[in-house]
Amino acid sequence: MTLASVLARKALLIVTITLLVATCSFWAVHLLPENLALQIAAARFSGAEPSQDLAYVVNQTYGLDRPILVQYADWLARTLRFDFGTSLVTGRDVSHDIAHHGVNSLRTVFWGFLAGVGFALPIGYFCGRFADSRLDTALTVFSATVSTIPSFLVAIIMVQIFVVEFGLATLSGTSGWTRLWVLILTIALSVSGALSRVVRAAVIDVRGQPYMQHALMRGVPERQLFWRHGAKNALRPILNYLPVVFMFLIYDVIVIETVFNYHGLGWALINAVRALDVPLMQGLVLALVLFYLCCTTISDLLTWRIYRQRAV
Amino acid sequence: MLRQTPWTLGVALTLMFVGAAVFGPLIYSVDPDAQNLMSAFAHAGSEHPLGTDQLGRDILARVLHGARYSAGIAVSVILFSLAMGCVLAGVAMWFGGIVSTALTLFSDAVYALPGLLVTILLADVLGGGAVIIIFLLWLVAWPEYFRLSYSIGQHLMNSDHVLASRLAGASGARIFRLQVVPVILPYLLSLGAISVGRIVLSIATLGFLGIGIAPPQAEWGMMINDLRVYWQIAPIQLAAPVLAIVWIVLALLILSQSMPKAKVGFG
Amino acid sequence: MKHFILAAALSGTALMSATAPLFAGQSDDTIRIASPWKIGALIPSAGTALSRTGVVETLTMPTAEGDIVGLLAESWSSNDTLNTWRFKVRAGVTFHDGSPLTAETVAANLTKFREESSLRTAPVTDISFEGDEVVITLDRAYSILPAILADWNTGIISAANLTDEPSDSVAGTGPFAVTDASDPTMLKLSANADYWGTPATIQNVEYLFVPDAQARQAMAQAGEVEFAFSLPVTATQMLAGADGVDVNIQAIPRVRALKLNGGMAPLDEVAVRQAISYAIDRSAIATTIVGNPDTAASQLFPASLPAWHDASLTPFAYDPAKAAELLADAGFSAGDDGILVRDGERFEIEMRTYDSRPELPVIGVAIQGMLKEVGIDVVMKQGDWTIISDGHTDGTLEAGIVSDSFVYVPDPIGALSENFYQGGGFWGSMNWNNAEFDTMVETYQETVDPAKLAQLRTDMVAMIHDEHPMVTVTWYDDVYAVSDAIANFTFDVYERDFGLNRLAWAE
Repeated sequence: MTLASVLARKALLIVTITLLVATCSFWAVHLLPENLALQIAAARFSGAEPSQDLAYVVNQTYGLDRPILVQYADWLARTLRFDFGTSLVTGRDVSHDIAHHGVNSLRTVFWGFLAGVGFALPIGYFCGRFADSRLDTALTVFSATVSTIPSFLVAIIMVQIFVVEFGLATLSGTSGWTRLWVLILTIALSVSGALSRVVRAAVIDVRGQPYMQHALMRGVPERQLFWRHGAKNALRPILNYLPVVFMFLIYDVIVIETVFNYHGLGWALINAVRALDVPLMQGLVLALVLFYLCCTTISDLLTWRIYRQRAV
Repeated sequence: MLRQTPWTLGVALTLMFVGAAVFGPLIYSVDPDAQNLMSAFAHAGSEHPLGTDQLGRDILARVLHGARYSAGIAVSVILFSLAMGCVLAGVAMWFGGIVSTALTLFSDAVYALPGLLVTILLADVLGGGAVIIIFLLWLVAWPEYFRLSYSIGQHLMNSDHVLASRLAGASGARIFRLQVVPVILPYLLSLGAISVGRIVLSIATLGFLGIGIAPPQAEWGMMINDLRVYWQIAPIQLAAPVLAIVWIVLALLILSQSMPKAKVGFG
Repeated sequence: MKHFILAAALSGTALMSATAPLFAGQSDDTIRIASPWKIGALIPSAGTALSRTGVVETLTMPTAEGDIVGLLAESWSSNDTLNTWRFKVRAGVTFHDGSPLTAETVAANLTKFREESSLRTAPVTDISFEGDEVVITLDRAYSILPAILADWNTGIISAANLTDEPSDSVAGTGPFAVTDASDPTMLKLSANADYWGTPATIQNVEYLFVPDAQARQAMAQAGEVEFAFSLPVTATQMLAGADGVDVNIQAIPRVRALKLNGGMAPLDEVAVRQAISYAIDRSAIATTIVGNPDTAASQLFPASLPAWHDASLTPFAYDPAKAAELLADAGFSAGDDGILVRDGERFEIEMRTYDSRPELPVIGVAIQGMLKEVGIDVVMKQGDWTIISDGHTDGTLEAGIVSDSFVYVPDPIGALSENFYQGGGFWGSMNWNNAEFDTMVETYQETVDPAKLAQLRTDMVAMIHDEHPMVTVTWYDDVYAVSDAIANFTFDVYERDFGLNRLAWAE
C-alpha cells in the first residue's frame, strides 16, 4: 500500500465525517421550533429587544428565507471552508475562538499524552516481563482502578488534593507549570490506565512467540533479544490501540478542562452548550473531531511507515 | 479453579448490581424525589441509611433509582445496537458488492467519530431526556457490532464447514442458527459487557456535565456534581454514587476480561 | 527512513515550541477577580464586567445613601416641565485611547446603545449636544432620568469604539484601562495614570470568568484570586479554616423570584399565580438553601429599601391547602398521575434555571418539588442566563428562576419600569399587561410631590403583591471572599463598581 493511498483513504474519511457532523447539526438546528433568525438578531444586537422587523432584516442578510435545501448546501460549503459565522455570545468570529482555545487544549493534551505514554510503556513492559508477579498484580489493580473511575472524578479529587489542600497548583490562567502540571498529570493518568494493559498484553504475546522461545533456548540474552526483535512486533498492537486512546483523550479534555476551569476547547464547548450558542458548538465539535482524526492519521502513518511491507 | 475466580467475581458483582437496579427500588420503596428541606444533609441512620442530600432527599433511594436509569439506558442502547449491527451485517453479507462496501464505509465513518461529542452537540438541541440519550448513544454505538458480526460472519461463510453444510443442502436459516449464531454470540456478549461499562461512564459524564438530563431525575453523575460542593458536610452522600459507578464498571471490566472464550477457532 | 525521522523530529519540535509556554510567572501587583459572569462583547451594555472593574463610567452615580451625584456629568438641570434635561459633561477627561470626552461622544454613545440600556425604558424623543452639554428630550415629564443614567449599562466609551464590528479592545474613561482582551474569558487591565479622579494604587487587575462556583470557591481558598463573589452558601463553612481569606455575606437589594409567562394559559390567571405563591415554602428555602431564614420574602421589596417596603402588607404565606383550593376553583382536578388537569390539558410547565448564582438551580428543584405537591408538573431546563433572556425575547419561556437587582437604576422605580412595565423585562414579569399599573409607573416618573410618590409606591407594590406577575421567593445575600492582603474593600450593593481604585495592599 502506498503512502498516497493511505492518505487518500484518510482524507475521504475525514471529509465524510465532516459532512456527517455538519449534516447532523444543520438538521437538528433547523428542525427546532425556536426561531434561529431571532436568536441571531438578539446576539448581533447584543441585548437589544429584537423585533419582527429586525428578524426580517436578519432573514435577508443570512439568507434564512431561502429554500431549506439551498441553505443546507450553503451550510455544507461553508463548513468545508471552516466558516462557522459568529458566536451568539461574544459576537466574535467562531474560528477566532477555536484558534484561541485550541492552542490551550493542544498544550495540555500534547504533554499529557506524552506523559501518559511515558507512564504506560515502562509499567506495561514490567508487568508483561514479570507477568503474574506481585508487581504485576499491584500495577494491574492500579491501572484497572484508574480506568474504572470516571475522569471527572479523578479531576475532582486532584483539585481537592493539590489545589485546595496543598496549594501546589492553581485554577486560573493558561500557562505556567503550577497551572499545568496537575492537568497534565490527570490526562496522563487517564491515558496510561488502559494503555499500560495493552502494552502488557503485547509484551506477553511477543515473549510467548515461538521465535522468541527458540532464541531464548539457544541462549540469546533476553534483553538484547526483546529490544532487537521483539519490540517492533510488540509495538504494533499498541499503535493499533492508539485511536481508542485518542478518543478517550477527547472526552477527558471536555470534563477535565471543565473541572479545572482550563479554557480550552472542551471548556468552551460545555459553556457554548449551556448558552445554546449553536455556531460555536458546531465549530468546536468539528474542531475536536478533526483533532481526533489528525491524531489517528498520524498513528496510521506511523504504522504504515514501520510495517509498510504489510497492508495497513 | 483459580482461573475461574475473576469470572465468578465478575458475574457475582454484576448480578448483585442488576438485582439492586431491578429489585432495589421495589424493596426500598422510598420516593427518590421526595424532598424535606428541613432535614437536608441528615446523617446516615435508621431513617436514611445513607443520609440525605441538599434538599433532604434519601440518598439510598436515589442511588438505586440511578442504577435503574443507567442500567436501563445502557441495556437499551446495547440491544438496539446489537439488532442494528446484526441486521446490517446480514444485509451486507446477503447482497454483497456495492451494498456491503457502502455499509462498511458508512460504519467506518461513524465508528471513527468520537461519539460522546455528537451526544453533547445534539442532546440539548433535541430536548434531552432518556429517550434522546438512548437514541444518540445508539447512533454512534452500532458500528462496533456491525463490524464484529460482519467480519466474523464473512470469515465463517468462507470456512470449510459452512461450505460443506451448504453443499449438503442446508438452508440459510439453518446454517445461521446452527453454525453462525453459536460462534458470534460469545464475541458479541463480550463486546456488550465492555460497552455497557463504557456507556455507564458516558451517562455519568453527561449527567455530571448536566447535558440531556433534567432534575429531579436521580442520576449518579448529576448527584456527584450537585454534592461535590458539600463534600465536607456530606462525605457519605457524595461517596455513595461514586462507589456505585466504580462497582458496576469494575464488575463489567472483570467480567469482560475473564469471559470464557468461544470454543470454535476464529482469526 | 532518515527523512521520516527528520520530519518527525521537526514536527515534534514545532509542536513542543507551540505548546511550550509552560513557564510564565504570576504578574505582581495584581488583583485577580473570579467572576461568574462572562465578558461578552466589549460594549458597556453586554455585561457588568467593564463597569465593575472601573473601565467605563456613567454620567451619574449613586452615593452610599442613594443620592444621585455626577460622575462624567458635572451637573445637570431640567426645564420646568421635566421633559428636557441638560447634562454638563465633565471637562478635562480623556479616554484611554487619548481622545477627549466631549458632549458629542456622550450623545453618540447614548444614541447608539439606547435600546440596549436602561434608556429604553425612558420615553426619549431626542438626544443631542450643545457645546459641553448633552441635551435629552422626552415626550413627557420624566423626573428620574439622572437615576437612569447611573445604570452600568449606560457607560460611555470612546467614539472610535462605536462601530458595529466586534472589537478586541475598548477605551473608557475609568481608573483602569483594558490592556488585553484577546482571551474571551479574561480581561487584563492596568491602572490609568491619567485618571481624572483618584488614581488606583494597585497597578494591575485580572478579571477572570469562572462559571463553576466550586472552582471559584477553590480559587479563593487557595489564595489564587484576591476576590471571588456569588459563592455557594457553603463557602462560609468550607473556607472558615482557610488562611488569608475572609468569607463575608452581604445583603443586597436584590430578589430571587419565579418568573412566569403571564401570556400563557393557565399562568395568565391571577388565581393560578396566587396558588403557586401559596405552594412555595419560602422559609424552608431561605433557611436551608440560602442559609439565612431572614431572607424569606414577605413581599417584593426588602426592608432595606424602607420607602418601598410596606410593613402593612399581609406577608406571603405557605399554605398548600389554600393553593389546592384556588386551583380547584380555577377548574383543575387531579388526573391519574396526580397532576392537575383542566379541559384535557395537563398542568405542565417548563422552568429554566441558570447557575451563575449557584443557589438558583437548587431553589428551582426545591420549587419543582413543592409545585408537584399541589399537582403542577414542572420540567426543568438548565443552562446559562441567556436561556432566560433569549426565552423572554422569543416568547418560548414558560417559567424561570431569576434574580434581579432593585438598584441598578439607583431608584427602584427603574427596576419596576424595567421589569413590570408594559409586558415586563428579562428579569421580571413576562406578558403581564396591566394598564392601571403602567399608568401608575408613568405618573410616578413625572411626579415630584413626595406625598403623591409615597401613595403611588404603596399602590404599585400592593398590586404586584396581589397579582404576582412574578412570584417573589427570597431576598438576597451574596457570599463573597476577599483576600486578607487587600485593604479598604467594601461590597458595592449597587453592583456597578468594585471600587478597585480605592483598594490597597494591606500592611
